Amino acid sequence: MNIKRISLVKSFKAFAFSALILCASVAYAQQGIVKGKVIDDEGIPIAGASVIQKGTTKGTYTNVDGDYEITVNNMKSSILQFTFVGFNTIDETVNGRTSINVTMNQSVINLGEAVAVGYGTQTRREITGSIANVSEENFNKGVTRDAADLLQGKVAGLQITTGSGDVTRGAQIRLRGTSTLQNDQGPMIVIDGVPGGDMSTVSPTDIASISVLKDASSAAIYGSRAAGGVILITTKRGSGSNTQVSYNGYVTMDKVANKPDMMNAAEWRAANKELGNDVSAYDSYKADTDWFDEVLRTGVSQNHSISLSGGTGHSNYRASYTYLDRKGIARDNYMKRHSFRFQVQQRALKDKLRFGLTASGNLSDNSRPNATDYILAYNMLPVYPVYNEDGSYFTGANHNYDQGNPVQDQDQNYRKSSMSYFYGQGDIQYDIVDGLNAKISLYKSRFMNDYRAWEDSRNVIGQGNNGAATRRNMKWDRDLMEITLNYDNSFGNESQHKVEGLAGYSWESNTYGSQYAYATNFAVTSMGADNIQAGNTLKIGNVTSDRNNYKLISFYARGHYTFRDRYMITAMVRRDGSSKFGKNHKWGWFPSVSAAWGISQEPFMSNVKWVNDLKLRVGYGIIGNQDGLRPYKSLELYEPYGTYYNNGVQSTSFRISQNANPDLKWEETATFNVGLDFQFLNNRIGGTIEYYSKKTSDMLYNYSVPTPTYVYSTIAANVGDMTNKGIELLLNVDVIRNKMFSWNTSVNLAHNKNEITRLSNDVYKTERVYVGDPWIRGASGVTSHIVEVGHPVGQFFMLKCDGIDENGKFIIEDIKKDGQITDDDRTYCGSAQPKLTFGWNNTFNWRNWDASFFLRGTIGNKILNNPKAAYGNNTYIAGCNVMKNASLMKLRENSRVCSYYLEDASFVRLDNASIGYTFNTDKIEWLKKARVYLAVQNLFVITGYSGLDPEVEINRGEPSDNNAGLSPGIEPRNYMPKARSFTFGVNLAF
Amino acid sequence: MKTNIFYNIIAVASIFLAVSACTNLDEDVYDKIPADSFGSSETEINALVGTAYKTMKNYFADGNFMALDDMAGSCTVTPTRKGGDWYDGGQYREIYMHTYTPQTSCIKGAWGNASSAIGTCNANLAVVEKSTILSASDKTQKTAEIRAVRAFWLYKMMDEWGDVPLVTDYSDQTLPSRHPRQEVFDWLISEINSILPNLPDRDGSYGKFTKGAGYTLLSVLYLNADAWGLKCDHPYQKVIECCDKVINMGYVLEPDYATNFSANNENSNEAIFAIPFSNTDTDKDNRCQLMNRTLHYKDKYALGISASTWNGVCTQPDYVRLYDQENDVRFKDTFLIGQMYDITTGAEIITDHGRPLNHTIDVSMIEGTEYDGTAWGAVNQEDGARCIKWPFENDLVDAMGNDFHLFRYAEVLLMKAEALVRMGQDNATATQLVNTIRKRAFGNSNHNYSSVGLPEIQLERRLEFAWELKSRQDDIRFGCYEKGMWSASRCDRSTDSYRRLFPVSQDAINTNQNLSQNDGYK
Repeated sequence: MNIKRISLVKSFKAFAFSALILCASVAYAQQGIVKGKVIDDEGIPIAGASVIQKGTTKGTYTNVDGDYEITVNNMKSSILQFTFVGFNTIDETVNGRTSINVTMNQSVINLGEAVAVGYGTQTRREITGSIANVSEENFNKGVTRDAADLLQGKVAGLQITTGSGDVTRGAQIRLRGTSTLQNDQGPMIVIDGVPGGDMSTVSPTDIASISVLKDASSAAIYGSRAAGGVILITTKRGSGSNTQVSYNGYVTMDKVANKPDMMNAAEWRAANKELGNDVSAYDSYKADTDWFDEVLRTGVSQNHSISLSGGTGHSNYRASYTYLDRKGIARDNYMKRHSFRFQVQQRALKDKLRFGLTASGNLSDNSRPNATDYILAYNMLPVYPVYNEDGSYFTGANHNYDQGNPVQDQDQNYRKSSMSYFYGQGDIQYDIVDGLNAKISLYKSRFMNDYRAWEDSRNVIGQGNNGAATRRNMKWDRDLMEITLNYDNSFGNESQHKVEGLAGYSWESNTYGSQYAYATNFAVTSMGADNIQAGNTLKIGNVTSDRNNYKLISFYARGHYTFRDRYMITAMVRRDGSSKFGKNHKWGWFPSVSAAWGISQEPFMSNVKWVNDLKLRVGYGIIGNQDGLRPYKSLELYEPYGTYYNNGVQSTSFRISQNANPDLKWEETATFNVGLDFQFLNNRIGGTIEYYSKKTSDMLYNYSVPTPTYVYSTIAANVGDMTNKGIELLLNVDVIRNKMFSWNTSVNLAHNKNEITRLSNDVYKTERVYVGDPWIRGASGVTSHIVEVGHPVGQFFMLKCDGIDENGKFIIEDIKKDGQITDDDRTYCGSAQPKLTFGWNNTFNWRNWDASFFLRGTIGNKILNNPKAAYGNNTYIAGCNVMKNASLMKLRENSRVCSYYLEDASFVRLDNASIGYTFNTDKIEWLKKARVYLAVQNLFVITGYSGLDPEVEINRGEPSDNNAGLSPGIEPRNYMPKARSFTFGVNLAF
Repeated sequence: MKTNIFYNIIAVASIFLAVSACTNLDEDVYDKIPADSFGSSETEINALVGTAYKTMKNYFADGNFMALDDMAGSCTVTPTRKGGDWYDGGQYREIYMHTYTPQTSCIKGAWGNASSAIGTCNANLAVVEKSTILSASDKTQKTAEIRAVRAFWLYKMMDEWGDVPLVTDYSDQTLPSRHPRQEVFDWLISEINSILPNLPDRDGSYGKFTKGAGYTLLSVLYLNADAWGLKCDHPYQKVIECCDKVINMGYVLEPDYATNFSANNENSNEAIFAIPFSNTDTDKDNRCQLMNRTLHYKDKYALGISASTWNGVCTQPDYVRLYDQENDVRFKDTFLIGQMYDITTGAEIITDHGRPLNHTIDVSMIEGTEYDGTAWGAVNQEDGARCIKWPFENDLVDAMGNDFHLFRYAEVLLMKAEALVRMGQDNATATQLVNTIRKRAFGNSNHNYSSVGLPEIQLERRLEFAWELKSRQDDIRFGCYEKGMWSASRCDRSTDSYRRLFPVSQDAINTNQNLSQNDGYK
């Protein structure tokens, strides 16, 4: 037992003791029954409003007449909370009353809404940090796979990017800019309180609301994993006494939104004629093939979701099943997913004890397209046919460089994943005394993936190896235990002092393992990857396995105090220990403090009627990130690697696997945040304006080191600093609000400035890192970006081109003025990071009709139009097709990585729009709700960018690549085009 | 009652926290071996020595040293192909035209390969030296082998860059600075001499750094000392002494030149130090992929292999023309030239640009394609003599099984001949040595010399060692480094003598400010 632990135990005891003192001050007042009625501001009863006693698990719902009845623990000090969607939540202290009637007001922003804040909830009124919350009615419409699809564009500062049209590929998320150099995973996902979750495990129809913890003062409770922000997903729950069966279903048609502008047969012939090429060797098939049309299709997807929920006064449950069959616009791209979710809560011991159980299962089957097929589609001549006259595949070009029949590939090859993700969570919660409860939560998950890939010997992909089969199985186990103690009470005159406290301990273990086998040279093609032993060639390194584990142990606490909703302060701290850290830095502190001033609650504001709410918030905190660290990076280890010749045989040699760094630790992000929340004019105008300044220090990266003294040229270390500063604005207006017609409009704007401020320290020196591999012919090893102090991540750095001269040559600026053009003439050519991102949402309600449209976009970012460089050059013909562009026939030089191909990628996209009709079901006893809707996604994009789409992935390549996130803003030459989706759906409730 | 429950919870929590598992963050390592538990068996020690040898694979397979030692010399060139392939930021233009900079990619790569190999040797040496399980004689031999590999890499760095860091102690963490070339040279001579008695003997030591390899490396050092501008007493006499040691070790000149390069060339009795490659290796930096670098995309259909080739490096045209194309067996054993025909259909193969796949000796710039106002432009895909010196096996896919013989007996003979000529002694012996080589190449004595001078020696080395990474060193020693063998390109080389050393990698300088830059590149 070490000294540190004793002190932790002591502090834990001290906390518990002070909590006890607080409890003792609460008198044992009498239980009693409170009744009442809930109406809206026009006097109409609200049915189904939730009424709970705050700080307990007790609760009920209003009936159709708006009436309720609830037993409270304390007829004096108990607080009743009334909530209903679209209305401001109301808290009422009982104060001896047996009848409490409330009138609830409609609002653009519900100040009383319970918002998930991490290990608990707070009302918007009480929040002191920077937290954005989006609930179901504001989610994106149309076909959605996960929470990212629901949120895209909705939250200022939360940049969600979907890259290619591949439906198996998830979105990439950045909150308030890039805040790390390595393996940026974006925000941590917390699903119903379980940190480190995976968005894909929750079906969009199961999600009730999503909170985004934006600053350190709100996210510090998640410590060393929170620096990228935290997204809290709260799923729907069953409600007591309200039994409901819901069905949500839709059918979606995905059409190709945009495809490359390639030459057709006539154009290709004309271009060759102009260039004086003899094309007789190619042009003998009488074909005019648009290869992108051949590899793409209209995908028809469907989604069916059924949920059952209900309960009694002491229990509730919800069970749901969702089937999503998503077909992409590539012929070999699909995702099929079955999601099961079951939640039950039961109370006992006079509702003091509560058991909760959640089980979730996700079974998905994905088929991922091979990006090489798009390279082939770009290159293949329009005069080549897909099929020969006898119906067999045309293989005449399968032997050419970067060519071959992509349709044949799609039909014969596959890359399939069968994934299962199961988890169970159980918790026991006990109300020790009023306002104080303890909770223990246990969680176990297992993710497994069986990956099968096959490259058939008959087509261009597999012919080199004479057929190749891959089989990979991976398993990821997670065990988590959390113990928390919650205190929530109010006291003093009119309960003017409100106190909340939280203390917790968490233990988490992650074990990852995989096996991989790869064989080539198949005599028989029919068994594919299902009989890998049929391959005749198996090489050293073609069968591998690995397994690793890491643990995370944490202690955390939060305290919150409110005085008359005027002055609020929150402080939190987390002490995180991770086995991934070096032996010299196993544990770290992550503290934060924030305060808010409810200006509108001040007596002097009581006469300012047009101000409904005005709150100033300020916070500061330190949070960490350890995503860049894989297990064992701090240790000196040996691993088998390659072979050496020894007495006539090739034996396995061993090497040191990495430069070990015992000082390795988390990176830290300190955030200052100030925000102003406002609601004016009878709650018709509301919003938030925020400024933040984030500084990441001890940035994890594989820094360059000299060899020798080191064995390898890089080491995982904590060195650099980076800042992100920005402003965010959210404005929400009820433009029209009346019984017949309402129009709500909401705008969010975010500006972020990213800058790397340090890359060296006393030990490690890094001046510049050249990153980004644009991958065009003749540009191996040529980079497009730079990582350098004083510049942002995403800084383009390349030869600067001032156009094309009369001889068809690039005019490259001789920056160094030495009369020759070399790498030394590269210079700064703009940034891939936007100056402004924005979203604009509009919803309309007219009688039974509802409609919405949502626009979003960016301003001031650049994209390297790499397909133009890779395919838009006449030197590639006659043998390859080329992409049309204005300077195509003028150019007399091979394409180069230079600013000629950099374009402004500002855009506005009509992301989604919908129109729905809700039937009047008053007269149908068995039907509670019936709605039909039409939605369209990606209807149009307005942009000056001439490539496929101005939105490209942030991370290129595999996320595990050291530099994956450091070269954003390149449209790859093997991109799958995006889709435009049309959806018809129904919502039914019984 | 309530208080009791409360205390119970506290008590449970305290017990819980007292259990050390709850704050234990030790790492359980499953798929790697912690350093402190490695090296405890002889097999493990052997595997470490193996890693030192494995670094040698980079020398031939990685392509960086091919650029520095053959392309900057007069043997090979990677022209830019029509469509832009292999322009690669101009690095091959810079290498051929001698306009390289500290940023030139292959120079940075080569520095990285060599210095990282030295680091690996130092790390493994530290473990082997500390090992308590090896017998004393085993330990001296194994440490000698690792030190020999390290000596090779230091020699190579000194050859390319002149002054280089001299780091020999793994535990020394001070950032190294560059030591003068003379000091590195002197250290190498003494280091090799001190390990020579402990290096393995020839028999059963294929792929190992044997005594024969040690003497050959010494010969190379002495032979070049003067060209490197170093002080060394009687270098050529020492070359002869070292070569004689090797000559007395029983190596023979294989009757068939091709034996040295075949897929089974481990059977060659001419091999003094071999870098063995395996065609079953999958690690990227272990594989020899010369076929990919040199063959056209469609050559595979003429050769019946299934590799995915890249159409890169070919031979400088004037170099090919040095050969007696009719009579010298080395011409056909080295180059792939002429029209390619599909091995199954017999049809003439056509390139993607609609031209016959005819590998001409000439490599011709296409008019109007020149880059940035230089003479360097693009050439047609099919131009240039390709390398088939290491013949491609029929089932070749992604790794060649042919070994690379870094030192072979023929070189020892030619080094001795050159030393004799440079000393002006015993021309009869020198001539006889060169004629031994020529007789094998021509299959008869009709092409023998009656006497030899430096031009004959230089020519013979070029004919014998094409593509064997000796070109740059030879050209500097024979004083013609500034003249490429692609006169038709009109890409004249810089004549600055400082170009005989490469600039120190900018990447290396960035991480270690103690490294200075060579003159002319600052």
